Amino acid sequence: MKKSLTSKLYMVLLVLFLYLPILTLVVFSFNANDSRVAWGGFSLRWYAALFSDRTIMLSLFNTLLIAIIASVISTALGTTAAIGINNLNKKARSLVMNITYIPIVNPEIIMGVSLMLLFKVFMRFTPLKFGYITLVLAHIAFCVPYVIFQVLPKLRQMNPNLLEAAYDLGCNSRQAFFKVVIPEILPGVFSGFIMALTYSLDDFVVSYFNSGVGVNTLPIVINSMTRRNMDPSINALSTLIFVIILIILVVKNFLDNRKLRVEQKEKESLRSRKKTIALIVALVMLLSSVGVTVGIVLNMGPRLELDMRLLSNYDYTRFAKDKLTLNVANWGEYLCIDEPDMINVNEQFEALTGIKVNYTTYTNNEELYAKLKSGGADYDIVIPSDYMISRFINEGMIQELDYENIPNFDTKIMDTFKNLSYDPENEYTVPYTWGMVCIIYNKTMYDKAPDSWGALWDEAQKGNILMFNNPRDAFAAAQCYLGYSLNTTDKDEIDKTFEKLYEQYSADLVQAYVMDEVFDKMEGGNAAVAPYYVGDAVSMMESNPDLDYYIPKEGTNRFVDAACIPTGCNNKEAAEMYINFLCETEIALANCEYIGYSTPHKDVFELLDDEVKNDERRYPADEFLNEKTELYVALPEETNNYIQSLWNQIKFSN
Amino acid sequence: MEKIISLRNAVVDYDGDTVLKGISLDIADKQFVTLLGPSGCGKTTTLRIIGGFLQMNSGELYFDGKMINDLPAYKRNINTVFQKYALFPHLNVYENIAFGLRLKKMKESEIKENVMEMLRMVNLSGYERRSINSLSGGQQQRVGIARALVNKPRVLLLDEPLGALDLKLRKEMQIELKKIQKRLGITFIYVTHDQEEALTMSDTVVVMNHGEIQQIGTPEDIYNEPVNAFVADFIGESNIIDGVMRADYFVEIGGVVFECEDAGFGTDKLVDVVIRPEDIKVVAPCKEAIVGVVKDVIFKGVHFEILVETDDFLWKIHSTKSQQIGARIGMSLQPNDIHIMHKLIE
Repeated sequence: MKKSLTSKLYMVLLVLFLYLPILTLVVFSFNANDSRVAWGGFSLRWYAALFSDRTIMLSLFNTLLIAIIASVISTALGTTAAIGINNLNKKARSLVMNITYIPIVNPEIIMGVSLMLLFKVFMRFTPLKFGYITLVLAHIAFCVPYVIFQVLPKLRQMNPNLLEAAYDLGCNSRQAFFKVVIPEILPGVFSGFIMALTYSLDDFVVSYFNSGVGVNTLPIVINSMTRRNMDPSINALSTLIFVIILIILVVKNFLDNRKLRVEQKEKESLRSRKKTIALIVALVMLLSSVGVTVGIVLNMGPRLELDMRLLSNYDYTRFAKDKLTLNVANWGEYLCIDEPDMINVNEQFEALTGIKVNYTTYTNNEELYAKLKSGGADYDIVIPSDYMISRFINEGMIQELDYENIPNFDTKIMDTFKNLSYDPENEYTVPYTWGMVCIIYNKTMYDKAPDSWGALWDEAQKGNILMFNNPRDAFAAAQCYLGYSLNTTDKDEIDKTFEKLYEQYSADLVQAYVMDEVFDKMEGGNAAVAPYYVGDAVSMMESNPDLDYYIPKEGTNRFVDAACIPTGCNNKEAAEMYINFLCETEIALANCEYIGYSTPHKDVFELLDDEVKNDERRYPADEFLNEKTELYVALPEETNNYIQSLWNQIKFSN
Repeated sequence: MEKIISLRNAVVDYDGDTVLKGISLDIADKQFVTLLGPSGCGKTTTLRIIGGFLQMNSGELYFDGKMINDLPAYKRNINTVFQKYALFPHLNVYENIAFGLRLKKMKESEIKENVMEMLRMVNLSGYERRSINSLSGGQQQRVGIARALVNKPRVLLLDEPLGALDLKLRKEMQIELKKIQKRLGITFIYVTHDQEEALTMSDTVVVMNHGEIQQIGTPEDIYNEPVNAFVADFIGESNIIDGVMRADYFVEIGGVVFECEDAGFGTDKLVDVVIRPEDIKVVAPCKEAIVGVVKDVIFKGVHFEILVETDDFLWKIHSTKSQQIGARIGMSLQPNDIHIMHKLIE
């Protein structure tokens, strides 16, 4: 049959549409630099990084473990349920089937939240905690219907006489089930298992609500990375997963084809082939889990020893015998625990104090707020940003600290970072890291280096300007330019700010409103100028030497992320010990180097390279900090709503 | 003859619908017994009770004089050949036949011996490695028979086993089944709706309708002496016509009084008269014969089927001699060809 050119073209386009994304991912997994758009030559560094990244490996291990346990259990449950349903009379069967349908058509978010609430109720009466058990239970809950829907049709197709034949030939019920029913429905059971496995592997929403503290699955970890530039190790991991699946499919196809030929020649039975396929799938899964386990085991144990002599004089061992556990929640990639040649902060703390650390990450302040407020997580230490801290204080969600237990606060934290607006008496917080909003620009697109917020309103760069994609940061940019307070509640000032933003929008100056896409656009040279954080600007410059950044002369927004202890904390003194530990010079230095943001820690600052230390853009004079930078505070609800409504006019006016 | 199976007052209800209305049945050992009747008559239900796949609402089932109502199917010394074969598709021919023996934990060498013997018996030697799906319908049914018989049951139940086969194959298998039954000397209980099949193979035929047994007898009895119009109609072709018993041994049919062999129906009583088409002799129109007009003549191979119209009935005659359409002919009857029956009260 001859195919027309159009149909061939259509096929090519279709295949491209389906596989171009994966191809891109595979190509960039071999990229030598950490850009997602600029090619820096061939390298295997992300594969090496992948296997030494404990967060990713551990979460991959969790994901595989949970997926395998959950899918095996749900296959057993779903198969027996399907057999039961099949034996019901017609009315009861359709009722049960409709009930089974609901979890499948229900939005995942409802499933996730409702499971979380159910577990919370159970936790009142039992020692159940969010973790592996709740995750496995939750995954089973949404996997079972898929298994039922795969197995039931096989049962309905089965010749009912088969079961009678089995009894007739001397089987009791159990023998009939295992010798006749199971082999008959095995293809359905198997595809049910595979479906359960895939759904469990890539579930994010349900896991997110039911993982609690400490147990992270791969989708959760990847999600929490999106605040900062995503680690290209994920490309490497995705490529490996894709290749493994591809191999399974190719082997399966190959066997199927051979089976067909064998059928024609030798007339051999189907059974043995199916077993081989199942065996291969099982083997591949087993091998990959073994691989992951080995990877983790090889990475176990502190890689670098902490020099105890450098620690402050503090009794870190007073809870050594109490078997305590601390639940720490932090931003993604915001603690030095994954770098191959740097210390692992949590392991060091565990070794030193005998207190176990359950470490979890979140994507943004609002997510942390939701988790704390809903009671879905019992965190002992959180590290939110300034404005969220003031909200936590207002709503009684964090508690006052006993600074007796955190002597490092007095001795090591810079005075400029005490008594800040979000915590004026400094009763609740210990600053962890800070930074400023700067303006990143591409030097090749400018004759003269810009120095003002005006660069974002520069007609000459029409269509090449990037802007923050959230109302607070976008308004702050215009407010800095106009000389208003970032926390103004004055309607007139807010209206004028909006006019400025609308002017920028309606004149088509803005190419796109972005958050972390700024990395790709700036590194790829696709935009001229963008506002973003200093630490991130530095990492963009490493990928693209054409970039540079400056702190606008009008002043800018400063953020501080600080450690706090939520009201529900059970081991406050141990939590304070952890915060004190974060302020140990060696630890704070590792974190500072790992994160790349500025530090509020005196000794760490002194240890920095002169180049960094003297960089006015990263450590401006106190005078500039106090007069030209402003922290966010939580705005009154009506102001927030008003800003949001104005922002919607820009976002939704096309 | 020794009874192997006895069914007493078997009643089966499905959702208030009575499928078996208290039937009683004795089955003699080593016989070929056929349960015959139209679909829905209760024959398969009866078979399933004996096989142990169905519980009666009331009644008793005896095997060798022992009540086995509550004995599960897998403990009965009875095996079944199913209508749609019900072979295990995940096992090959050999393993299908060996299935029952393996459950009995028979030694592998013995299993092999038995299976091979069965394959020889059903003419499938050399097919042991074949997958079930590569076999034809007839071959599959042979495997089904071998799978049941290899367990050496006292009774073999066959639920319309040849229903899905084409005519020629069905005829061959009928003869083969009969041969097997004779050779093994075990009881076969065979369910069919095909009267010809029943008459060909059976020692005893049980005719059923509406959940009741109509007649039990040898094929000859059933054919020649049907007890009522239903049996007569169901077994072979018949002319069933209204008659009036004028006196003992005299019946009036179509205005002509014939001598017959039946008595005890009373005088001037309305009865059903059954006359087989091949028993009617064509004669010249006369007073002693029923006179009618030939409406149609159909060639049937061995004979002609002649349709003759009288005032109130369309007669069917089987004859080796053809007739002219439109011709007036007479139909003569001998006393032993006339079967008188009570009117069925519906």
